Amino acid sequence: MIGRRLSHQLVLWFILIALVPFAIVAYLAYAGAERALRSEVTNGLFAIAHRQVEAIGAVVRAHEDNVTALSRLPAAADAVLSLERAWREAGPGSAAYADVDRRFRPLLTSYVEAFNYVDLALIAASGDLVFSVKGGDEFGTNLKTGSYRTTGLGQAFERANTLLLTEFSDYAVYPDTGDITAFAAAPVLQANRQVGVVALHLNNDELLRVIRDFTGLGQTGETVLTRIAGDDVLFITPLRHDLDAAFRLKVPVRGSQAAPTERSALGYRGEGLAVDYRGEPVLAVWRYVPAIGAGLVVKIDAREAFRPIARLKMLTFALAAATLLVVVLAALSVARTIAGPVVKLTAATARIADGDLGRPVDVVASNEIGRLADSFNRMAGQLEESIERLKSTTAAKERIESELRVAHEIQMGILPKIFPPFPERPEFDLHALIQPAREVGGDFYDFFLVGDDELYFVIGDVAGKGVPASLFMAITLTLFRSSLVWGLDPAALVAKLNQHLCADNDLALFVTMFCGRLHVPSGEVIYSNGGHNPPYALRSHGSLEALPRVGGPALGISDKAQYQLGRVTLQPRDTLLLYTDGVTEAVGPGDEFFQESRLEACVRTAPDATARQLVERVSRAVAEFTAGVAPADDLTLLALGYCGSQDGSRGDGS
Amino acid sequence: MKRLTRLALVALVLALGGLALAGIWRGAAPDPIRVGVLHSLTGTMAISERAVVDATLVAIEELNQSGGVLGRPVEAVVRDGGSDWSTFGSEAERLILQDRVAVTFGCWTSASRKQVKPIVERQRHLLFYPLQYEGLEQSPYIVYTGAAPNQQIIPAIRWAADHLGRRFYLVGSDYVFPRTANAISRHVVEMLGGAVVGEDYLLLGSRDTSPIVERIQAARPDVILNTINGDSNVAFFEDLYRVGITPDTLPVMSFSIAETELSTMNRAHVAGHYAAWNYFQSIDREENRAFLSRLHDAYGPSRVASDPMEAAYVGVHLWALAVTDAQSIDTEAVRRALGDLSLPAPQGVVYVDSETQHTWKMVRVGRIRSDGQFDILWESGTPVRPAPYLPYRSRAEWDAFLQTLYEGWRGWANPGPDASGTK
Repeated sequence: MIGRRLSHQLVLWFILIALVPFAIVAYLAYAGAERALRSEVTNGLFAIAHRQVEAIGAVVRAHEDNVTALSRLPAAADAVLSLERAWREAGPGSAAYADVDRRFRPLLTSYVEAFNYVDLALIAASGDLVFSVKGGDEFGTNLKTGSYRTTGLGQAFERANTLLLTEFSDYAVYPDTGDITAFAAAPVLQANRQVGVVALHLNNDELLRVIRDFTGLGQTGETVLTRIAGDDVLFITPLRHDLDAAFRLKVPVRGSQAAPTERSALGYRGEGLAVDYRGEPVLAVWRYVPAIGAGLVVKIDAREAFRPIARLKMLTFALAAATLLVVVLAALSVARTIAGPVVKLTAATARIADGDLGRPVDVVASNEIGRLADSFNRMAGQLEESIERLKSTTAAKERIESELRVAHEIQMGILPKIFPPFPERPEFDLHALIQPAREVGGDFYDFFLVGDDELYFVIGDVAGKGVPASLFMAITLTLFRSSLVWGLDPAALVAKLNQHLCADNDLALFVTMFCGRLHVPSGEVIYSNGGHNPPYALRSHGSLEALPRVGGPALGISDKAQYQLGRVTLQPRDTLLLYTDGVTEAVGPGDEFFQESRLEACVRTAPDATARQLVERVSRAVAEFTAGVAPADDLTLLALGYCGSQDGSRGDGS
Repeated sequence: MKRLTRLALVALVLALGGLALAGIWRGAAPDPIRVGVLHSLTGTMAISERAVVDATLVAIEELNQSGGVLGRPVEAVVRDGGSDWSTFGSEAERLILQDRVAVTFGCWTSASRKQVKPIVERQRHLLFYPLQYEGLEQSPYIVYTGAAPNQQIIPAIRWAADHLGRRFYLVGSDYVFPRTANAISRHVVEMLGGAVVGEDYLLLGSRDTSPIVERIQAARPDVILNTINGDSNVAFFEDLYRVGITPDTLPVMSFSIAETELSTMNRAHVAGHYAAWNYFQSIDREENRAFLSRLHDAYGPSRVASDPMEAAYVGVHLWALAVTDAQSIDTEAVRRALGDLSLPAPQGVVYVDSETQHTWKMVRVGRIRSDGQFDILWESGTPVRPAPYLPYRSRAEWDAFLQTLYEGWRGWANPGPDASGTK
């Protein structure tokens, strides 16, 4: 999934990075090439248009020069005057005219033949056409008034006669011959006086040669000549794509958005893309040619002109496609080399996440990915080692913990747990509770009925906690029990225990201990306190007093320690409460101790409680005080209520 | 957050790009192309030349309305030649050297043109000259958009000879154009078998026309060929009218009276007489209607158009087309582009002959109507090739003819008896 997305992204980025610059460069190159080619083609068309205009100008100029030279021959004036006179005086069919005609005809005929003209006409200033080499229908008519007035011949005469300079007619269809031709005419002067006009009927070969010169115009280019004729644009030469177009093809004048053929005929010069008479897009250059009163268009099909551009376009697209292919392949390959290892790494992490550390990542790469895979494998190995170590450590810990649990059970087993312990003895009520801070505590309590009247009871606290303390406690308890057989008073008992505990006490452990003996019939308690918290005596009338600290130091410190014996007498319904510092030093909120004051307040409010009730009340108060904070020390309570002697004195009191 | 950052980046890039574009836009605010307009705004020629200035400015305004030339606005610098030929010279120099204009449109009289010609040739500066003139000149630095003699004088005389009579009386102002035009006219009259029965000149600006009118009456010509320039014409026609010469008895064919001049003359004195021009306001052509509407938009509907105005208007447009084709205002580049340039002008197709830098134009003869417009009686049909040097004399002979005139006057116009005045 990640691999696919990565490779998609990579392909996308590759395409972006490679193709965007390529597209920009290709577009710029293409646009530049198109501009350059268009300008080059246009320049070529300009040159051709110039050539064609020059060629037409040269044709016109050559004929004008010919007719000018002819008009200046003295023979020309002589001929016009003689012929006009004979024509006017005797008539065109007369012998006199024929005489004059014979005089001039050979010269003029040879001139026409020499210069390859169709015909030559001499026109009097009046407009009468008095001579022509061919003698066609125009002969004898008047060019100012007759039917030939509107022909090219009439036009040429009119212009030469009016402007008194050599003039050239427009190209037009001449009615007699039906050919498309023009006339050059020049005034004929004699003694600076104009006597007539000489006109040459042109062979249209030269113009057609110019028009049909397709040099530089490729397969489709051509030169088109047009003229405005009324409301139409008239094509006056054959077209490359329509040989019969001359003076046949007409297109209505359109005005705005006109084709070059119309614009050039109207007198505009220009260049640009246009649509020609076939509806074909062309690149054209156009001119007005005043010498023949026509518009000239040189054009070439856009398709042909821009063929190199089309090739360039194809090439560009092919190149773009090839680049795209290469880029995609490269991107995919890179994606494989980068994304492949990443995918494997991802799978490996997933395996490790599931707990399978055994299989290393199989990535062979020399780059950062390869190094990442190596580190990954190293990390997995170390993780495996750590887990192994952790496992063995945990096993050891568990073993110790189970042993400690056993020790705790043993320790707890040592302490008497059955309450009331002496149900058959109503004279006293005894209850005890121990809450170890750890699995194995150092507190202990015990009681023993020796004979019928002597109840030994003890509470102690080994300094320190854990296994050593519990062992020391076990030793202490064992010694206590075994020493009972001696029948000693509590002070002697404590002193004896002290001597035993001091011997071989390499660990320098010590224990505080309160030991007392109740004489059941009398309620008298003798005791000895070895450094322990003094117990409270709760009197039946409600007063509370701590037993005087009579005894000696804590046990196990010095074997020379002396212990005194204390004495107190319990009245019926009095209760003794023994406790360890786990009660008074229980830590509550704000690191505050429970303290004796709270203990005393708790005890004082329950004068009529049984031993069990008292113990439970105190332990509840401590639990409330500590509010769930784990106890730092063992907590032990022992309550001994005296009910009076066997004769039922307890009942008296209640 | 990430999207917000990307958006902010895109916005920043767009804003910076926009600013950069705007900067380029503003930075590219194009300098105007300055062009000179040099005509007499004062003096005897002002009546005619002010109208030409107006037409020139209309054309320039038209260029600016369609986005200028090469994307730059065209700014006209108008200078007053003061009907004084040496002033034309100094003002031309000032336009070229001080105002640094790209081209100058100007001059009316040949005297002023001849004064400016050596200056533009020395500075390789282009002058568009809008007047019909006597020819016999061809400068690479002048584009002649007015008529050469074969485009006005010859057909006019031909038409007069055919329709009015063959005895001609030649009257003109005493400067180079009328003198040369009349020299040509004499040739043409001779070719047509006519006769010149008198030839008279009066000083430019002179109103003393009655002696000439008296001599005309004595010579009894069929036609008067009038090349008087400026407001002398007012006096001349007034005198003709006063002595009872009417178009019926003795028509006048004028070469320097167009609609502009007619608007300041007493119509009764001139109606029915003739003039030869390439352009008349009454031509019925789409291009002419457009020209007139621009003129009327600028100066009111009563403003008339005349041949020199049209030629000046066309000159500005030819220059603009050439500059556009050349993509440059450099004189040589513009000159190259001018060759073979054509446009459909109000009068017909105008084409710049690359050989002579004159224009092919239509030729027309018209009769003055009482409303100051012309009835067109004849027109050439197609544009006529300009022939500045007519073949009646050799080029050397024509040049010698001009040289003689120049030396006689020490200038291009008769300075008059008070020779210390205008040259």
